[in-house]
Amino acid sequence: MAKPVSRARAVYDFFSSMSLAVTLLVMLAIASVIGTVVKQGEPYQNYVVKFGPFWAELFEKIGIFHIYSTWWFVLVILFLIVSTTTCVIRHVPVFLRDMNSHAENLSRTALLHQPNHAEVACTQSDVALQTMEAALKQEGFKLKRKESERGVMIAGMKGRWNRLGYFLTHIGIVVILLGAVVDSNLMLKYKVMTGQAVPETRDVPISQINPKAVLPQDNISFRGSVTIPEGQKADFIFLPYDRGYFLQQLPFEMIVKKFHINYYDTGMPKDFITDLVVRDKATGKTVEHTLRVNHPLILGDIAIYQSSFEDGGTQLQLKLYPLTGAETQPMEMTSRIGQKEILETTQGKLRFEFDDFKLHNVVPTTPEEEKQTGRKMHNNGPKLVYKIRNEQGTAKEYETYMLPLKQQGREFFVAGVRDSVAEPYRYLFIPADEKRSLKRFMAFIELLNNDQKRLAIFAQYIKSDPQFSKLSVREQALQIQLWQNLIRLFRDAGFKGIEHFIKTNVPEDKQKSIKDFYLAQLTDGLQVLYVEMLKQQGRIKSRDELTDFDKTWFEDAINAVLALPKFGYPIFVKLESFKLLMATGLQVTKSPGKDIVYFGSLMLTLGVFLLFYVRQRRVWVYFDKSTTSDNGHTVVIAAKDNKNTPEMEKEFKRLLARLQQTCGGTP
Amino acid sequence: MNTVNDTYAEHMQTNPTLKERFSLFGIVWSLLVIVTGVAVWLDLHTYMDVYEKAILIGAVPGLIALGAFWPSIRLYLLGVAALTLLGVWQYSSHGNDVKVQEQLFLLKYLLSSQSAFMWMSALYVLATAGYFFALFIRSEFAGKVATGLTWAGATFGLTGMMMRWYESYLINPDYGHIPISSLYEVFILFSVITALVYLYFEQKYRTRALGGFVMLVVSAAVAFLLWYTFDREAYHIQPLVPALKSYWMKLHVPANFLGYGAFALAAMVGAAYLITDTLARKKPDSTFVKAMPSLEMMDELMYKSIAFGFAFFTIATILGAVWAAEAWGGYWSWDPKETWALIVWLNYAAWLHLRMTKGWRGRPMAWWALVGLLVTTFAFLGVNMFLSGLHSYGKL
Repeated sequence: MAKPVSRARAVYDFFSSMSLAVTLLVMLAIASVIGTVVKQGEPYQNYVVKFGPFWAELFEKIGIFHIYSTWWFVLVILFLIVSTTTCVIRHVPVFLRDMNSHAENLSRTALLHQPNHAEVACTQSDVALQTMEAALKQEGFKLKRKESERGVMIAGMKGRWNRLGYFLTHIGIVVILLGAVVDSNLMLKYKVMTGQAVPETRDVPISQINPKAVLPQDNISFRGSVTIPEGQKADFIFLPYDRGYFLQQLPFEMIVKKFHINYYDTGMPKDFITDLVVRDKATGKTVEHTLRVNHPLILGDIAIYQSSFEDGGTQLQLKLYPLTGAETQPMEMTSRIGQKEILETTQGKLRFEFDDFKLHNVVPTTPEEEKQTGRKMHNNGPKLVYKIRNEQGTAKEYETYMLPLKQQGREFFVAGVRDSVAEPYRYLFIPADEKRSLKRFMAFIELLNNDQKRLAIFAQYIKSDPQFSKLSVREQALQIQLWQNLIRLFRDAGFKGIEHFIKTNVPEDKQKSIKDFYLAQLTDGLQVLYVEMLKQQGRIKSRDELTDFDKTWFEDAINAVLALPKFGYPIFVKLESFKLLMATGLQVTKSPGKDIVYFGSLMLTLGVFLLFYVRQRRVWVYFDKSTTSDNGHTVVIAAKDNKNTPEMEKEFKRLLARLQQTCGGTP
Repeated sequence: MNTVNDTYAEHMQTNPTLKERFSLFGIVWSLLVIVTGVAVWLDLHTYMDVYEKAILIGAVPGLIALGAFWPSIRLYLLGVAALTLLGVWQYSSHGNDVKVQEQLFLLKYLLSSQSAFMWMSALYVLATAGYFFALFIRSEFAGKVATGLTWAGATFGLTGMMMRWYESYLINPDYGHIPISSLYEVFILFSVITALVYLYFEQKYRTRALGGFVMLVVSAAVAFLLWYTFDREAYHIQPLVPALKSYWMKLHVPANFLGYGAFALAAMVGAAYLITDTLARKKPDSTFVKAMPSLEMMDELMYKSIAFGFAFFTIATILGAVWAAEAWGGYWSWDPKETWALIVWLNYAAWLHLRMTKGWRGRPMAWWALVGLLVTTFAFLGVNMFLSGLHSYGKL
């Protein structure tokens, strides 16, 4: 019958086995790789888009999206702690004995079984032993001499601290893992499992957060963040948890006075800085601090970090220009970033969502501009990002620059539109007039849209023009009608509109000549409108006064009109002025395990160096009286390195040479 | 008897004696280091924060110890210092205008960081060819030339880094930073460190046969650098992003590259091992096999190199964690870079465990060391290319 193994012993053997340790480490490595390939902690919706509902659901269940905080991952870490600890415990007695023993009791046969050994014939063994003793001592060996009736043994040992390296590395790892466990949210997990705490999943004001999602200030460890606009304060942070979050209360209040960004001359941010006041809730004491990246504020066991920033509700003064109306008088609107405004339009209720504002928009310069200014970067100035959402809930996203941007020497008001975040923006370039304003373009658009105004202009023009005034009244009316119709077609559908009209109304053989005629007439009509408009505005007195600027402006304006149908909602949002308000993102952590981790790291480092760079070596020189013969004695020399390195071989050969020298030279 | 004495003599040559460690030159060197340290302190201490001062103070005994540990590095560092001073003098005698590097002969063709890197690249590639040439024609002289070329390449590499450091302040005092902050810069660091670690082992093990293999990986780094320079124009000196503005960079990055360099060296020795072993099985007395060092020696060198790399990689990862605690608010965030550093660490920890406790040797370990380089390369490059995270400083 086999010897019964106690259950405790079996468990002990299981935990201290190398195969368990290796299995755990492989699991850790695989989970880690998955965690880096699948982006962690994103909104669940993103995963559904990426993997499909079935896989997203499955992955969510096994924790692929929060892999490092799943119960099984934590379990692997806990098992690693237990496994490493038992492994250390198992080795303690053996290694301690090994560290302290000189192994002076080995027999001659045992010595002859060491990896390095030799027998040397010696005439004067006592002299030889003494010389070797001195030599070994000089090389730093700790010696133990043992004399018995069987012979004299000199046992030397060096580098015993190597064994300490084993303990320091392995205990170091256990200490690091323990520190990490202290800082993990295991406690919180337990509370969630037992129902004492429930994460909040709704996006609600602070006051309406489920009380079970509010954590008291004495929580032993946490790491979370909060965004605070300038001039406001907060005494809590949010801890993300699965698909929801917890509200962690803090023992102090963080009051944000100002947030600034310093820039390099390239436009790259140089530093993010928050002027912060922290007021202790218990004592009322305040601390003023300038918080910067890489320079956290440490308050007892809590640290505050500068971690991000965003717009904190910048005030906006806007003008909304209708692009298809018969009147282009803009509507004024006051709003702020983060707010939504609802507008009744001919296309139903539209919701304007002002999402973001960026003060500086630095882009690389074009090669031509770099030649001119010598600068590699160019600041496009303030930019507003907003959405227009219709009653069905679908939205188009817009970005618009406050100031006109230079393109090939001309200036344009630039606005982009896209139907989803995945698309690039399609841009509308509206040429700025001579005063860098939108006025001329809006007036021109108004003429295109407003049949009555246009009619008045054409009528007056035809009367005053020397050529047209000669025509009969009927001919004049026909000319005006032609212009009007062509412009209407052009306004609604561009050149394609005219082509379509020709295709449906003109016999095929005449289409080409008619088309050429119509396009010439359209150009004439538009030019007449433009010139008369400029005359009315008092900019010029006659057509001859048109400058190059005016001519290119006209071409650019026609291109802009052609692009209008692709701009989505026919509303041009112009940012008139703003009052910047930033919000700073602060990260707050309480991590009592940090010092434990650092201490463990120190042990680990020290241990690694002891393990690799201190070699534990033993040398024995033994004179066995039984080997005495007429020619003299035999001295046995043996050596061992616990890692059996080639250096040992060399060192042994050196020692052997020394022994042979003192023993009288004959090998 | 003779053989024993030979080994004895050889042993004495490979490990410098105490006398050699502190020869007259050693003492002069140590004094020079101290004088330089004091001079830097007097000149620049007003611009340094307390940590940078600590790093400077620590560097003095550190360099003296390094010189004692490896006497050859002294001459190397003196050469770098001399060239750097010459370059700095060229700039400072022309109004410290960074544009004079286009006009002054010495700067334009030798000492400005860009031309120094080009010299480094050319010398490394020549050294690689030289080592292989020496191996195939079994020429001692050619081998010595290759070693000389490697030393020269490393000299220009480090000089170039010193000049780039100086130039970054000339472009704009705001931009000034130690040039180990971008992918371009750390590739140079990598090729300098790998070459130096190799030269150390070349001296210690008295063999040049592995030079070609190791310099092959350095040449690969050079090829990448040249592509990165000419195709992507990555050599422009950019100011630091706020998260990198910390003294920790001066410690974390070099420690990491000592690790990477040593792992790369181990992998190439592994490759040499596998080739030699395969050939030795087919044709035991081919000239190639005879020219290569013994399999045991290569096995040993792999271990030494991985142990060295592991020790510094451990330090680097810990320093990274301490820095992360300061910059990102937590010593460990399971950021892709951190996680891959852990994977690399686990990989080599397993390698060392199996060698030390289970006594694994030879082919499997050589294969493993070679595959280990793939893991390391992914951690170094792949993470930057394919995964995004907090540590995305060196985007391709």
